[in-house]
Amino acid sequence: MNEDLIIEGCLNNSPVAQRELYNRYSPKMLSVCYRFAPSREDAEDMLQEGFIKVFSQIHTFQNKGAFEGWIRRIIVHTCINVLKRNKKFNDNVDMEYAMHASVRETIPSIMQAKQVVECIRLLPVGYRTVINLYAIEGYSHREISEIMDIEESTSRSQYTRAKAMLEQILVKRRIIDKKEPKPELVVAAM
Amino acid sequence: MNHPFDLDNFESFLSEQADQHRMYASDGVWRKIQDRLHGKDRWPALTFGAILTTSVIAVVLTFTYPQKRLYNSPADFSSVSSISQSVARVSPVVQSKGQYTQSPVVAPVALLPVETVNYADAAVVEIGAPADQPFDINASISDENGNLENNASLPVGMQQVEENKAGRALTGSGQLTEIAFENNGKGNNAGNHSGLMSASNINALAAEVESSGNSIKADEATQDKVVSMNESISRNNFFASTMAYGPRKPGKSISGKNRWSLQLYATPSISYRYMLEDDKFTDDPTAANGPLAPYLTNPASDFVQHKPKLGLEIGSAFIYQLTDNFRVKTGLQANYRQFGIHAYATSAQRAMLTLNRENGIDSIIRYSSISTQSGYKTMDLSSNFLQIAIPIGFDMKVADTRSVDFYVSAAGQFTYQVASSYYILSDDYKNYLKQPDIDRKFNINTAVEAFASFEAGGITWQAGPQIRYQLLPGSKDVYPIREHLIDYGFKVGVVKKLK
Repeated sequence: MNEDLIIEGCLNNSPVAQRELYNRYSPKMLSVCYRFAPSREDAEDMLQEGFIKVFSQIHTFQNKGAFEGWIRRIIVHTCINVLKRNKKFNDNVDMEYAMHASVRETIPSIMQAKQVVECIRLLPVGYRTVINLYAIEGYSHREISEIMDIEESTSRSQYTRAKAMLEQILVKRRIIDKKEPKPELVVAAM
Repeated sequence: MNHPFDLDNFESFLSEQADQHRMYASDGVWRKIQDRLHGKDRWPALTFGAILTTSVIAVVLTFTYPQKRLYNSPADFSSVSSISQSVARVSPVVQSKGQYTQSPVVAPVALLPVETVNYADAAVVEIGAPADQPFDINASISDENGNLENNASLPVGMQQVEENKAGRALTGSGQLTEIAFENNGKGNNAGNHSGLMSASNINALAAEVESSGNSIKADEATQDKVVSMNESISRNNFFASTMAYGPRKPGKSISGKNRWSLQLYATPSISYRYMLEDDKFTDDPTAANGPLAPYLTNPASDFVQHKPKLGLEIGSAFIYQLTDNFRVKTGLQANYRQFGIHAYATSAQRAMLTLNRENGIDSIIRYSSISTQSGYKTMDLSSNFLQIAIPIGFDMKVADTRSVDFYVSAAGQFTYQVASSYYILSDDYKNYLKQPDIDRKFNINTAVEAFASFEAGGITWQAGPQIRYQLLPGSKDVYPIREHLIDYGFKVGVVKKLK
């Protein structure tokens, strides 16, 4: 079933088409939710709420962009709304925990993507949200400031700190190499 | 292992990694979404089954036992049941007014309600007569001479005595007491005999009377003794609060061939499966390439979409009644089980199947055109199993009313798989394959059920829900995913006593 047929079916409220759409996009969208959510259960709740919005607002999709991008925006906004509703942005930043919390040992080393996502989730919720929105979802700081009801400068500073923190975590987990300073050129004295 | 990280490419690095990540939601998420969009699923088959069963039971009760009441509290009669196991035989019988001869009289031991006795005529005492017979608790009964009157409250559970001639046998509920007394003019002293007779008293009386032979008149002393006994016991009437109860369902004697029954049954059921990764396999370091999709942390069940389908279990069993409440059974049955799989047709893809054989890991490379995740069109597969089984189990009666017995039952079923069409997952959970040589032929199922049993048309019907669980995985141990079937069914059966 191609995408147009799925959309048409969903417009007609067809359960088969809706299931098809869900099967096709839910793995990726759950991953999106998981990066925002405090737990897997919360991520599934976000996914559920997001897909209900997708199905109920699918008539607003105007074929002007990628369908997946449209779904993704709805899912991201749903995640932010859930976090706002639960006042998760006010959670304290436990830097010590974030630095030392272990990623699940059962994850094989080849699962870099999974490890990176887990490392992102170790960040405090505010940092995590900004990283997700800016670095992964491609929102600008201005858009982020509107979405999260914060100053644009706050978004920038949060992102800078989040980036530094995430880098440390990734290095500590040996997912990335520590950036070595470039060796200085030594000019022999004549 | 390490990524050549460059802070200048930080965003693209994160984005790239995040885009590769996939997670699979549990089945409940979709169900909740569907419920929100389309309302909750209805289960018409279950509703229909419940209505049908209730209707059948109601009709049977209505037309089979129109005049009889159910017990309010069957437990109160358990004592009667137990004490009715032994009876004392007493032999005085009224010949006519004031004239007594002897005939067999059966009295239950221990506390039993005794009928009001009119001494002017025969005194026949029936225990546990049908409750629909009118009973006037304040009945004033007098003898022929008008000098026998009793306005005292009669013990409940008693039935009003009709005048009976000598030798008349009453069999109200299979517990009969006939006590005849020689009335030699002292009936006015005795009054209206009502109350309860105790086992020891009856036994003593029986011994006393029988010692005098079968065709002799009971002597006056004996009669007086009985009368005084009844009066004293009636003051402590144990059944004072059981007025509303009818008689207990007649007991069925269990002996010899009477213990055997033949049962035929059918159980429409729906089959589900759930999948587990084999712990033995995951602990095995040599199984690094095992079909456990190491880059996917979700369990295998998250990658497949099951759809229950209707199956059927039919069979027959011989039942052997061990006690009133317990019976064992065995027989032969056929199971047809199936479940659906939602999948996608795709171009042929390389699919690896790794089996943990005794001599090491055996990797089989196959090609599959069935995908679990995506494809150019959807398709519905069906895994089917035809099995024959020998169930061995028991039924235990847990409650009963006048016309309906309630049982719980459990059985182990030794199963042989006659034929199957069975899809298994590839190593990476992406494809479905068939590998018949690893299908398990012999298996063990367990079944638990609860059912109501009632008689209609000369046979015993039974109906109730059943859950069946397949203990061993559908594939042999070499396959590292354990897939178990579980069936939810509604069993309907008939039981016929063997002559």
